[in-house]
Amino acid sequence: MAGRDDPVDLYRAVALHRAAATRLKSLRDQGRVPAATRCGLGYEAVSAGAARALRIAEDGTGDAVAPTPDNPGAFFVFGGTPLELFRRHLARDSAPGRGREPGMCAADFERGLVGPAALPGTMVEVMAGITLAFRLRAQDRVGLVFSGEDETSTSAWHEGINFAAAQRCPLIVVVQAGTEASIGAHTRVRDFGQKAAGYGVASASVDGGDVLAVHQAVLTAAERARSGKGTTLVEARGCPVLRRVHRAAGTGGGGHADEEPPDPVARFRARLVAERIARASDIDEVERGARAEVRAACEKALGEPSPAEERALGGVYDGDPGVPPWYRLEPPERGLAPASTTLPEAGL
Amino acid sequence: MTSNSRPEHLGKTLRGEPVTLLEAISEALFEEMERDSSVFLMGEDIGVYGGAFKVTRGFLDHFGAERVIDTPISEAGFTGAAAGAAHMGLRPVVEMQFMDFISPAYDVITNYLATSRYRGSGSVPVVVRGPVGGGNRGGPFHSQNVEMAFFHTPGLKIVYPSTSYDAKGLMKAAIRDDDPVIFEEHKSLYRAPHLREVLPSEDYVVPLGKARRARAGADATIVTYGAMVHASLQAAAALEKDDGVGIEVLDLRTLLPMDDAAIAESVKKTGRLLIVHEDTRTGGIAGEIAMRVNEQAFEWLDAPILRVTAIDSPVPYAGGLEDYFLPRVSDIITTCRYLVEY
Repeated sequence: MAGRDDPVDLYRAVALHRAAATRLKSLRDQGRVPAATRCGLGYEAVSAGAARALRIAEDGTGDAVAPTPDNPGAFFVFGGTPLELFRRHLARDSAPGRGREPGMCAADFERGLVGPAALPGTMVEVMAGITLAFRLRAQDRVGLVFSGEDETSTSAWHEGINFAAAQRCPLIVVVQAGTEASIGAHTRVRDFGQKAAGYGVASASVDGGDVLAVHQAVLTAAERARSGKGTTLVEARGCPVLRRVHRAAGTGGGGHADEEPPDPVARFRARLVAERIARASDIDEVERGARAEVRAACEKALGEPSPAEERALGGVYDGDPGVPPWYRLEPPERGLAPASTTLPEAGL
Repeated sequence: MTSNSRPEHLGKTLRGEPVTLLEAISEALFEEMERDSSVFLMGEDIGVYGGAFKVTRGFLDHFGAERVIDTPISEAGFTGAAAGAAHMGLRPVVEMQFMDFISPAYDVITNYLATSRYRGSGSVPVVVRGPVGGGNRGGPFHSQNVEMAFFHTPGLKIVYPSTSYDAKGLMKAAIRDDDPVIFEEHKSLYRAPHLREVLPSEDYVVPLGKARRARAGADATIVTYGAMVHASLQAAAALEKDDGVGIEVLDLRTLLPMDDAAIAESVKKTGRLLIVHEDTRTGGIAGEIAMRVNEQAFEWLDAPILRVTAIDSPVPYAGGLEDYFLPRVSDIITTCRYLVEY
């Protein structure tokens, strides 16, 4: 836990997030990852600030976090590496999940990393269950799930936070809210604390571009959760919002909203320097280090192979080796299929 | 406050008394919770009320509110939460008050639970159980069979017992399984008197993926499951008595994984196959079974594969309508005669 509240360490996580998101955007623009890939530009403050307010361990005893693809900073704070991130996005054989799932964060419950699932709201349900397990086992652990503001309109989000509230789960739901311009396409709520009140959940609202404000709000929510007071919603205002929301609201034109984020990184840097917490030269060094680490990780991942095609088979069930269709065998045998399942418990 | 002693109504097997299929399921849940402290239950009204069908009557007093959790009416929410708890090493069993209500949880079951292992996010040992089936005048929303809504999703297992012995053994196997399992319990079988049986007092499981030959015969095979096992047995008995025809009845017990070998073995013996399911016709499991037999035992067939199913409609409420909707023993007899004479 050493250095968790050290602003320069916090800046390191922010800088790593920025460097990775920038590199990922380049890969997207180059067509090396899908055009729909979310990079996380503009989410540096909320990602790193929130995650560093939690307790981190690598033996399954720490807190848990479920980042969205916009939150590489949280992934890094919980021990994820740029190399893992690029392997996942580039679908390398070496990636956790071995190319079977897009996105940044593989589940690693020992490190407290949960996810991903590109299903809006679902991770609120899942994290409700994870934190229910913490409570049932009387563990001093909390969970945090990030969600986009548009996710709050889904039935999954609603049922998840309501379940967490009813069960007094030690859960923090961070809503990455946009600007007022985005509101109206999917909700009439202007303050997501209003939604929290509907579930009997405490709430806080902070500037999502202010790393230290986010950090403090989540620290408070975590203390509240640890003391048995249940779930808290933290609204992080001023985050970039997704393109589809802008389009629906007629406010954002056709471009990626996350290409023009507010710049929480510059704000944090200026504050560290202005308040003489760090020298500009030290921060430059942190940024150079982050960029170098990201560059090296990306180059390494780019040089690694994709999974062999046959890796699509198997692993659907426990002990499932996968059975290729007969017409893919060399040479193809007659068209009688083998037993369709080879599960050991089926004895087939 | 929890109780240490086993509730009397859950001790019938220990006393050598026969149990119904419902009681067999209750005993399985109870014994698994006794055996493994990571097993816990979630669902609507399962605690204080003991469940809509009383499957969990007495559980709250015995195990306490932390292992028998009354949930909001949030099938998606508590099923998703079950996945999270399973990630943390617990083994949740969630009850759908009626399996018709599983629809809101379709998203999280098919997109999250079923895919988790393959995606590399780990196993999700969750059992989703509940009452299914018609014949009880429940109408469109309390009578459905849901297996085919999930059958098409790799990563799920689907269990559908027809006897008390199997219900108990399959439930134990499902809870101990490391993959998500949909467990269907036919309401008409819950308290059916003819299904009362004395079960072994020792612990046992019925392995998932193994069919059961419910009746031997040489002239045609019926592949079926759930309540239709009993309709098929009635038909087979009548055909033997009236026509001297031997019908083999194969009870699948588990739909996923399906015991292809047992089906092929029986078809190779009889050369004729009828598939009977209470589920509706189009997209029913009969189509999949027929295709597998086509792939694996085509040369042994002496007649076209036929099916007897519910008609393609929502489950109607009025008695006469529902009776017409459901497969009948006479339908099975008629179809078997056609097959045998083909």
